[in-house]
Amino acid sequence: MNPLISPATTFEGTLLLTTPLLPVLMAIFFIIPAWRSKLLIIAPFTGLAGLLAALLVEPGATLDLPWNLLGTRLGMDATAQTFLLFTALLWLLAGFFSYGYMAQYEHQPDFTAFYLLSMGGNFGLILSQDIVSFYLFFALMSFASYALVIHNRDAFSIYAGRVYILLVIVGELMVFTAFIMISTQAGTIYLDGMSAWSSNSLSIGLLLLGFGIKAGALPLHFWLPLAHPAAPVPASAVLSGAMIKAGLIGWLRFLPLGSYSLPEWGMLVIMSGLAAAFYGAFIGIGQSNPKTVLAYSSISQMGLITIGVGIGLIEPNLWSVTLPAILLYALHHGLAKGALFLGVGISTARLSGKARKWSTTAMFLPALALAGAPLTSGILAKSALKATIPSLPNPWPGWLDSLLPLAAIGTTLLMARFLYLIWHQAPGKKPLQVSTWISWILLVICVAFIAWTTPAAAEYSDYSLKLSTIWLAVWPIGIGLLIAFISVYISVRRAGWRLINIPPGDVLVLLEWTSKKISLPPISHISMVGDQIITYLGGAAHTSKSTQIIFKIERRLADFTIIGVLLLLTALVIFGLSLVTP
Amino acid sequence: MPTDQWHLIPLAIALPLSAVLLAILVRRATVYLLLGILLLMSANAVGLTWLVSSQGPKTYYMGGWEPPLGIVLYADGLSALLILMTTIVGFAAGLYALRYFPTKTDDEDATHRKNHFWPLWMFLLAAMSALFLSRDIFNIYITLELMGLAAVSLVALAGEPVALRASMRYLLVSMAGSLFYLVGVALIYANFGVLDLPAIRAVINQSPAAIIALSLMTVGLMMKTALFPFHFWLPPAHANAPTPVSAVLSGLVIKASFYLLVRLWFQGFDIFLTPIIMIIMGAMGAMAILWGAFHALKQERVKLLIAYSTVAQLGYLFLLFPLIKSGEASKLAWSGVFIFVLAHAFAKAALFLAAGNILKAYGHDRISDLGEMNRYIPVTVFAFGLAGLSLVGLPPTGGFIAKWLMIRSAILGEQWWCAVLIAGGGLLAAGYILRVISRAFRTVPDIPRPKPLSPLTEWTALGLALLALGLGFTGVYTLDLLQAGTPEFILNLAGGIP
Amino acid sequence: MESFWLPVLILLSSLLTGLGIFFLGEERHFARTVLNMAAASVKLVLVSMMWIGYFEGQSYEARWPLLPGIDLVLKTDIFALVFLTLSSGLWFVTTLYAVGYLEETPQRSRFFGFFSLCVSSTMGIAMAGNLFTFLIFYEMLTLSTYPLVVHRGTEDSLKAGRTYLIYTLTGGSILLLSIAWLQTLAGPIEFVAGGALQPNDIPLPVLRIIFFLFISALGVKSAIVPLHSWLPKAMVAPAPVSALLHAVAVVKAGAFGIVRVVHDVYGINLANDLGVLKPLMIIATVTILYGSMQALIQNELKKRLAFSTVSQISYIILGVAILGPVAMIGGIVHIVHQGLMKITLFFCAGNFAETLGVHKISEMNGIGRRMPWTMTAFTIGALGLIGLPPFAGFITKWFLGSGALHAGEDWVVIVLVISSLLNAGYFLPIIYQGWFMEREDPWPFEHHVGPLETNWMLLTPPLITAILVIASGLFASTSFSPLSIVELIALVEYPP
Repeated sequence: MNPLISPATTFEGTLLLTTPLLPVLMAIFFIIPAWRSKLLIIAPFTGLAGLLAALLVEPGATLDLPWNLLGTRLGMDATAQTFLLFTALLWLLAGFFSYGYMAQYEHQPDFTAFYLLSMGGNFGLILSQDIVSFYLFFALMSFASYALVIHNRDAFSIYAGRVYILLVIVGELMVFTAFIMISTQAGTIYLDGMSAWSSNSLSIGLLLLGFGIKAGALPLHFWLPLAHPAAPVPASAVLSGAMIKAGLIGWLRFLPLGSYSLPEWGMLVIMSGLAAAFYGAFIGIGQSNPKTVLAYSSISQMGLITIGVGIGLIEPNLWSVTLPAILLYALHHGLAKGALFLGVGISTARLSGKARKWSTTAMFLPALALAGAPLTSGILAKSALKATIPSLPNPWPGWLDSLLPLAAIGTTLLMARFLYLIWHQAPGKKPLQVSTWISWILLVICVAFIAWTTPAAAEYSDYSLKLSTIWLAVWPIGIGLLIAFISVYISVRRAGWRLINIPPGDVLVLLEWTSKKISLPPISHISMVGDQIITYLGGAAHTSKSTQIIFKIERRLADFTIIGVLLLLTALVIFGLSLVTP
Repeated sequence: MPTDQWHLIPLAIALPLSAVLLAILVRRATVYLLLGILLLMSANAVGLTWLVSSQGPKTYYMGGWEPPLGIVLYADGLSALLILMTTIVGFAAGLYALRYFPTKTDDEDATHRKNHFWPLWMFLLAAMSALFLSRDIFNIYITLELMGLAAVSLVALAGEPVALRASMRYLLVSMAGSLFYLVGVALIYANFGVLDLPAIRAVINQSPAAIIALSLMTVGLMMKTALFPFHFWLPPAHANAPTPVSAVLSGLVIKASFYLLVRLWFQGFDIFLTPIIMIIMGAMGAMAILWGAFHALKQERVKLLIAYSTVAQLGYLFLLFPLIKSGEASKLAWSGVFIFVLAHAFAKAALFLAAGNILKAYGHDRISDLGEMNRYIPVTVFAFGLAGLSLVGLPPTGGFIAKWLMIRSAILGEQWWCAVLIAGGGLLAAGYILRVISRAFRTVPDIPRPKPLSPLTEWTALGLALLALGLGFTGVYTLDLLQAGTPEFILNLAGGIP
Repeated sequence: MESFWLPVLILLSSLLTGLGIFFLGEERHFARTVLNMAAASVKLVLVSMMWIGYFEGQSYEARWPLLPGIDLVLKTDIFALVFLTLSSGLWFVTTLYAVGYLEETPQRSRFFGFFSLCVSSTMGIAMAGNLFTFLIFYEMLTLSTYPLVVHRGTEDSLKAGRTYLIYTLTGGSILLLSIAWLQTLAGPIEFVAGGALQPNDIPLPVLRIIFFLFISALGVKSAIVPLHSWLPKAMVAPAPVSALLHAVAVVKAGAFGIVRVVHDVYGINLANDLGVLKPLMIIATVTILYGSMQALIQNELKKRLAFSTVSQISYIILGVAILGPVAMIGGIVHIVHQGLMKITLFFCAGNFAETLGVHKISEMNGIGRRMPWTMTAFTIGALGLIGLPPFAGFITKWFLGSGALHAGEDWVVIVLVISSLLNAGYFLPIIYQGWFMEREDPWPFEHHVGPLETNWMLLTPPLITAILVIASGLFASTSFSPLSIVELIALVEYPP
């Protein structure tokens, strides 16, 4: 047993347990109509448990529930702590946000109930230290969030929902298969025993794909730009900020990161990461719905994180450096993206001009952070990630060093596009609630500061303040902004000239075309011989030919002459046969 | 002294005969008296069975005179069991008749019929008991003849023209059958000068006379047993007779001639038992099973359906012949077939009584117009179903035990076709039983509410059905008894027959 | 003494009830209900007494000689106990449900009479100590179920009943043949853990033939393709009947029998040496996939459920066919799990039909808003069958999967995955329609108006079973969960 693991104190245990359980219970209570209105008020606070757990539970504390499922183990470790920190923050604030925001839509109780279920799932999968409960919470989150995606019930969201659920199921099955293989090989379901398991390229592939779907990795990303924008604002925030990271933590937990090197897989992952980083930016720029733009930016940002995972696969002994970088980046992106999505909700509300100006300005902070501007969490995360590059085998370092800035340019363009769309958006009818305001502002503040408080930050903060680093961060942004301005200028001058505009869900269009071509043939019934026999023998006399003949014979048998003949015949037969007896 | 208790044997014949006299002489209210005698007969049969099972087979010389002068009665497990069966079924059907023929009625015709019924009834029973007990082929002829006459006239009691026509035909057949048999007897006596079966077994040889005699007797008995293709007379006769009569005819009478056939072949003329003959007999049986079942599946009326099912069930009895193989298989087959005889007697009688109830309650027995029976005549339906189970051969009924033994024997003797036939025949039976039973569950909007029945008629049917069921749980004892009657021929079968 | 009477009493507790009910008047509804529930409770008590006895090392056996060398034997090993508990427990809830379901309908005494008989024969099957006894109760089950199937009395229900009988009786007679044959070769056979056959003097090909005779005989009831087509037809039966039919009584009897034959007659090792396990595996997988595909294209709710049963039952067979304890645990625990989940689904289907007249899936839009509790139960059952944690079905799939990997039968995992995909394919749309679609047109036949969404006797059973579905998944590792008990069975069959 891993020495780092120690049984949790009662207090820690309670926290570990309540973090995932409380939201779920709360959601279940929603089935009772009378309680709903009160529950709506309490619901947002349930996120607090998670936050407290992230802050108060010592890494290494574990809680064993041997009677549960196949033996459940919840526990805290470095990974879980960071993940839980930003996830809980995001869910908590988005929860308060939606309390006010969703009040203007119908079916708020339904939304909240499923919001809570997804939250429970998300928290649970971060804390679970055994395969089964991980799978449980992963499934809970994925299926519950389906309800969030289709909440608006318009054609688009239902379509998005269908795509989403389909991929969820496929992903679930891949993960399930991989899990069964792993645990059978490892002979245990506990994560700390997993290090012993022998690598098996099939299970690794399944893990990469299965979790890749959640993480919006290429080429399984296409559900994401549909589902994230389709959901109501708070939901998109958690989808794109927190739940998307479930795929990441899945990788971190179950890939043999840090135990040994898998160069081929590593390359593959890095390449798909890079591809995603550029592809997301490239498609995203063309979008005209700010939320879709953000969704594509998520794809490209997750691509960058994926690169980190790839590095981990190639360089196991570097894992102690890579992991914190990945965690830091995840935290940074989670908060920033959440803030931006909520921002969309703010900007579509009815605002006074002043408020509108301020809110848009405030949105520059997370935007710049994503672009990796100095003094933001972005530069911190990026420099952490860059720090792992040099140790890679050639030619990777060179390539990455030259490619990452380009990715930064792409991100900048995306952000510019987003802010442009926000700014030119027609103001909405619905007024803003206080809770909505406050939670958003709090979140923005978190974006500004939380990243610097993490342990990983300590190492890179100085480095990130060096001029050279700053310069490296600034010039791509500059270029990006330049391009942005020019393109805007042109599009204003010469009407009719547009950015390339690809429908959201890009490759899906292709897929659907093919799926139309390949349609399953109807399953033919196996013919049921038994039934025919029954229908023949079953009913009373019917007029089939054979039956008639048999009846005729029966009538003939009543004829005395025939009987006499038969009788004599039989007698003769017996007679003859008896003659031949020895 | 032991011989006293053996007087039970002649008593089995004497009691019903005395009842006949009573029935004829004392007209007024004898019915209950007769029932009393029937009760005595049953007691007597039970006693006899117990005696045989405890002390083994017994030859009884009437008045102590040895043959050829005196009449010899012989009781072994088999005959004891069959007598028991006869009295029980006779008793039950008699109880049924109590309500079937109204005791008090001003209808001249009905009283007339009732007055004729009871003597004939008792006469039939007496004849059958005698038949099961005789071992002398001439006495057997006489009993056979008496039985036939009684049966025919009982059929005729129904009175309707169709019944009369049926009984006429029945009369001819049974006459012809007995005639063939008589010729055979004459031949034997002329050539060997013996009539007692064991004596015959001792002296018989391959002479043509013996062979002709055997063939004639066989076909005669086949005819009376209504083995396919000689069954033509059975369905109309059994279906149109008064209900209690049908019960006894289908349950008992035909068994008598089969019993004779078996006695003849196995205890008199067993030297002629060659595989090929056995196969032929079996084949006829097989045909009967399929043929009868098919027609049962197609009948429109319940009673006809049951009559045809009798044709089919008789087929199983003749499977005895091919099943006689090596020692073990033969023992199984022997007990199997005779348990089958018992089970079928009870079940078939129950079925006919139940059918009679349906007929009485609904005024017709057209299957297509029946419905919701279980609501109005639940006991009858239950009886029908239970008896049906035994007929199909489903556990834990007597029919099942019988089929189990026969299948075991078939597999042991590697007569696969028999095994399959026995198992499959059950399905066909299920098919036609189901045709009636399913009507019980059918809900039909506008069906005339059936007439209420007297509980007695319903419960007698159920009682018989329960007996068929109970037979399944007493297999062990029945087997012991039957072993007491196994012919030496089978016992000697060590290495299989030549 | 107790060791003799307890099994007999367990049998009689429902047998006598059944007979009693027949002779109780049609109109004596209250008395009948009391009798029913009392008997059900008594049986539960007896079974739990038996558990206690079992853990105290007490062994139970009742014999009655039927023929020389053939006894009617009631014995209880732990496997039997599991089945007993399942059926007696579900009998209780189903009776409650049936009372509510059949209110104000004719022919109730007939129904409940045969209902009890049906359960008693299930008890008999569970406790059967040898093949012969098994056969007896197997046939008795067939017959006592028929009246329930045709209860409605309509022409098509009669037709379905006939199909049912012909199929099952044919299976029965094949079973009779194979038992007789085996007995002729090997003498009377009692169930013995690890296998009763000593195949020294029996030619192996014959054993193979007999094995497949057994499988085809029992396969009729356990609805393996292509012997399954009676099952979807039997859907004309009233909901409680379908529930019992699919959860404990008929299909389970078949599966139970197959387990007995493989493990306690042949013995897994002999079966493996004969090389009959692989074909069995293939039969099972074909059934699993075929059933799911058929379910996918059904619009009638009960038909879809029926086909899903076809595929689910073969999970059990699959688990038995795969060598090794893990898969066996997966298979046998599914006897319990599938029972719980499927009975829940059928209860719910019945509620929809009774309360709103909803029979088709296309009519179910927005049903979740009208009947949230029932729909919740339905969802739990469905998700369970798909195999999602923390529901019972997940445990099954998990053990089957890893068992297959242990035995080196990796391809089975793929089959499991595909079938889960199909399960999701035919259950999730229902859930979606139920919860997320808006209802515009009125219900086909809205019957019930009252404080609850439907009659409480209809509402409680599915909730109870749904809770059990969650419990047996969530608390799978507690010492009284189905899983842990079944692990004991595996210890018996695969001594470490």
